[in-house]
This record gives sequence, C-alpha cells and structure tokens, in this order.
Amino acid sequence: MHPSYLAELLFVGISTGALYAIVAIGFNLVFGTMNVLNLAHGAVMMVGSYGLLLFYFFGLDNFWMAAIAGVILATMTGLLVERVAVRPLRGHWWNTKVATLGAAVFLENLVHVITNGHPQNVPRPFDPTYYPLFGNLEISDFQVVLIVLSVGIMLGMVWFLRQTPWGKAIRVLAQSPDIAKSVGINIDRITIVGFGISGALAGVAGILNAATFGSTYPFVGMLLGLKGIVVLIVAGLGNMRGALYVGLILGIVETLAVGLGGSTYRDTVAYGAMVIILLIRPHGLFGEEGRIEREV
Amino acid sequence: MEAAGPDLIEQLLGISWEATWQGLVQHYATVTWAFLLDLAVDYGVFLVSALGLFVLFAAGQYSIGHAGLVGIAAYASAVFVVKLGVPFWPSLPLSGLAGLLAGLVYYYLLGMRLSGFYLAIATFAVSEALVTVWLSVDYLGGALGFPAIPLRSEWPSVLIVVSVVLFGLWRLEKSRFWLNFLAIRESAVVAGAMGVNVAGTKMLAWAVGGFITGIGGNLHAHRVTIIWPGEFSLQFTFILLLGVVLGGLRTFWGTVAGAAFVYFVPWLTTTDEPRYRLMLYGATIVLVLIFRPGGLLPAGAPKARTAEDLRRIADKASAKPQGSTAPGAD
Repeated sequence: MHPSYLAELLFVGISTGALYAIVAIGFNLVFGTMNVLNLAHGAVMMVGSYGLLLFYFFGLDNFWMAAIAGVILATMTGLLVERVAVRPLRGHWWNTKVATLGAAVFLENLVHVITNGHPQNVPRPFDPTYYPLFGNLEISDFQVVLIVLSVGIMLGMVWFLRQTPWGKAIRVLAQSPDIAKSVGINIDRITIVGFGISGALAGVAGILNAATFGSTYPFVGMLLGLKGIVVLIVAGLGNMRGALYVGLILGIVETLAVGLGGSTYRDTVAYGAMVIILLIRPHGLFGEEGRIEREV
Repeated sequence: MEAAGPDLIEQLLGISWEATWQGLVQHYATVTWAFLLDLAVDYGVFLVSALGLFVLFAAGQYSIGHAGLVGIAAYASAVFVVKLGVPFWPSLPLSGLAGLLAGLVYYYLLGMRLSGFYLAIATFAVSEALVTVWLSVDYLGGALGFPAIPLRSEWPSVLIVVSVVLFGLWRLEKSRFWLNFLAIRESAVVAGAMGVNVAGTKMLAWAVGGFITGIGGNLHAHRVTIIWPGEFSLQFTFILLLGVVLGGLRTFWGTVAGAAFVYFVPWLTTTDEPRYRLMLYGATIVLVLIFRPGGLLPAGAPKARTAEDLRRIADKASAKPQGSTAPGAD
C-alpha cells in the first residue's frame, strides 16, 4: 500500500476522532454534573445543524454567523431538554434515560416532519482548494480548517474544565455532590451551566459533522451519539481526558478499518472492541475502580 | 411573516387539520373487530418479550439490547420449525430453553462482570453485533430474512401462552426469589450483606428472563412469518424498553399496562403516517414521565410487603405451636 494513502487515512481519522471526542465530552459534562446520561444529545446535535440551515433559510448568507446561530439554538434545546425531561424526573434515575430518549425521538421526528424527510444540503464556508503534499496525498484547506476547529474546541474544553472556576466547579460536582454543596457551589446553577455547555458542544459537533459531509438529515445524531457513548464507556464514565484519547483512537481505528477492510465492519469493530475492553476493564480504560454510577 | 397561528403550524408541519381530521374519521370508520383482534394478538406477542425484559429489570439487570435476545429466540424457533421440522407446540419450550441458554451466556459474559450503565451499553453492543452476525449467515437467510415460518400465533395459542406466562410471573412474584430480585436491584452490596446469593440470583434472573423472552421470540417468529436481522435492532429494543419503564417496575402488571400503552396509543391516535406517530410517541413518553416519574404504576416497595404482612408471614412460620393467631386477629 502506498504510504500517502495511509497518511490520508490517518488524517481523516484524526478529524473524525476529534469529532467523537467533542461528542463524548458533551455527554460527559451532563453525566458528570447530574449523573444523567442525556440520550437526547444526538438530537441536539441534529438541531444545531438545522439551526445553521434555518439561518440560511431566512435569507442571510454567512456561514460563520449561521454556525453561531446553530450553536445558540442547540444550547437552547439542550436547556429545554434539561427543563422538560430531566429536572422533573429527579430521583428516578433510570427513567431520565427513557425520557431523554423520548425527547430525542420527538425532536428527530419533528424535524423529519418539518423538512419532509429529505436530506438537506449544508453550504460550506468556502470552496475548498486542494494542495498536493507528497505522493498522491492532497489536502484541502477546508479539511485543515475542520481539523483545527475540532482539535481546538476539544483542547479549549479541556482547558475550561481544568483551569476556570466554572470548569472546576463542574468537576467537583462530578466527584461528589455533597462536597460540592459543602464548599458552597450552587448545584442548580452549575447543572444548568453543564447542560448549556453540553448543548453548545452538541451544536458544534452537529455543525462540524454537517459541514464535513455537506449534508444533514433528521437522524444524523443517532449514529454519532452512539459513537459518543462508545467513547464515553470505553474511556470510563465521567473521565474527560480519557474521552479525548479514546475518541481520537476510535476515529483513527475506524477510518483504518474502513480504508483497509470495508465499510461493513466499521460499527462492528467499534462495538466489538468496546465489549472486549469492558470485559477486561469493567470500568473503562481510564475509569477509577471505585467509581460506580450514583443513583441520584 | 403574514401567516400566523394554526396556519403557520399547518405550513411548517406540512399538514392540514382538515385532512388530519378526515384521516382520523376514516381511520376509525375502517376499524373492524377482526382488526382489533389482530392488534390484540400482536400486543400479546409483544407482551411476552416485554415481560422477559421486565424480569431482568426487576433484578437490576438493565439491558438495552433486549431485541438481540428476542432475535436469538426467534431465529432458534425458526430453525427448529422450518429446518428441523419440530411442530409448533413442542417448539415453544424448546425455544424457551434456547432463550434460557442465551440468557445464561449473557450472564456469564456480561451480567456477572458488569453492572448499571456499563451493563446496559454492553448489552446494546452485543445486540448490534448480533445483527451483523445474522446478516452474514446464509443458513439463516442473511439480509433477505428467514422466510416461510408458518403462521401459528393466532389468538387461541397466544391467549394460552400469555395466560401461562402471566400465571407463572404471578407465582414468581409471590415467591422468595422475587424478594431477592428486588433486593439486588436496590443494592447488590446490601443484599449480599444480608445473605442473598447475589451471583445466583442474577443468574436466575437471566435464566427466567431468557426463558420468557425465548417464548416471546418464538411467538414473534410465528406471527410475522418472515424474520430478518434488521428488525431486532435499536428500534425494537426501544419499544420493549418503553413498555417496561412506562408501566413502572413495581409489578408485572405495570409492564402489561405499559406495553398496552406503547402498543395501542399510536394506533388510536394517528393515521397511517409513521412520522407523526413517532413524533407523538416521543412527546407522550416525556409527558407521561413528567406527570408520573415512576411510570404508570409507580415503582417502590411491593405493596404486599408491609410490616403487617411480614408479621403475618413470621407468625405463620412460628405460629403452629403457639396457636395464638386466630384468623382476622391482625
């Protein structure tokens, strides 16, 4: 095999992996703060990509403004999901999963009905120009922008969680709600912040995904969300750094599997690897032994 | 933006109220007793699989890959009946046994090692992997499906099977095993400290749940007459899950009610457009859970286990020599 083909696969793998990592970190924020697995996360991603289209629909033609509008819409949807499908169900930890799943089904089919189910073309911010690197390897400036954005946002989230007061509060809450309360952290507010940022990240992921493939459809969040969950579980619930590593690795492995094997086995590789890793390390690769799911 | 109010909604959703109303009227006008009976039989078939999942949930084995287990049983029964020529009635306990074995494999592979959310996701992954396996096995028909299964899930047989399963669950719920199930669901650690055999109870839950699911899968195969891999995927799991959770985890009657809700509400409210049905579905689930967060029949301590009941049980165990508990004394 030509090395430039391998390099191209790696390149695509990193950008896919960065996307997975963003999705998984979005899941993690909500899981960390409220111990809720927000299964509507994928639907919120989809809403973000359609928010972008809505902006164009109103006759405004600026990709970056539209992207910001999409992220804002996704954030609002995320907060709405928290208000409607999570907060009323405190104390019924299993049912929040079903309620968020119900919210996801509602959102996806609502958009499906509105758009008549046709996949929508998503405009690109600019027409890509291709630059030859070496061998047959060509890289478009568009790909470069996507990778820089994905990796940048991912690193930005890590910085936010490690360095800023809000981020630290979120991590304290994830470790122990009791301790968070005792050091004076306003749990309700942090929860809302967590859901808001999670929604914004979902919007970013949805828009990046839509821009990469040039189209979006109502159920786009389903598969992407499942991949995010795979990353989350393999890394260990609530572990941010693990999500980052595992997301990148999954993206690269998957792309290699598709490029070298065939696209049929892409998901089987991901799920099979997950089950095997879970059997060897029941709390995920980076999960702590003592940490179990709290039944809030 | 000249359109306002209902007109805007009509435009946005691409529906007209007039046509929807007409559709509903037509929908009800065409409902016949035969159709309702069909629907009820479908419901009975679905209910048996949902009850299998309910047994797992009762013991805290939260599975979100239950369609995989149903699929194993359905394929097993198809092989028994079509390939090996086993008649319908003997094939029921046989596929039940197949489901039981599959449940034990699930237990040794996943249930023994994982718990809580990790277990749920692992069952999901196994279920999705099973779909790819079925897709690639030509003996089972591959992507085209397993055809020519005889239609045997008519109302008499389904009624008999559902009654037997419900009776069995009713007896199980009165038994000591059920208390063990609930104990390890609430907390496996505490249950173990109180002397409950946690591993054995989990295994029993997988075995019983697998057996009931096996029968459900058999009925399913004999209902749809052609099974294909894609149908045992996420959507089926999702509906099973809803049936169990919407009903509440207190008794199996919750699942009976929840499955009925899941099965009949879409048919009663919408016409043939699946998009509206699913949209309404999602909204209904969220609404039901907002107003009844524990499910239709709320979860909680089983009603029969009040302090008085426990005293009565203790009395009955030790009363013989004392002879102090006259009927109605409590």
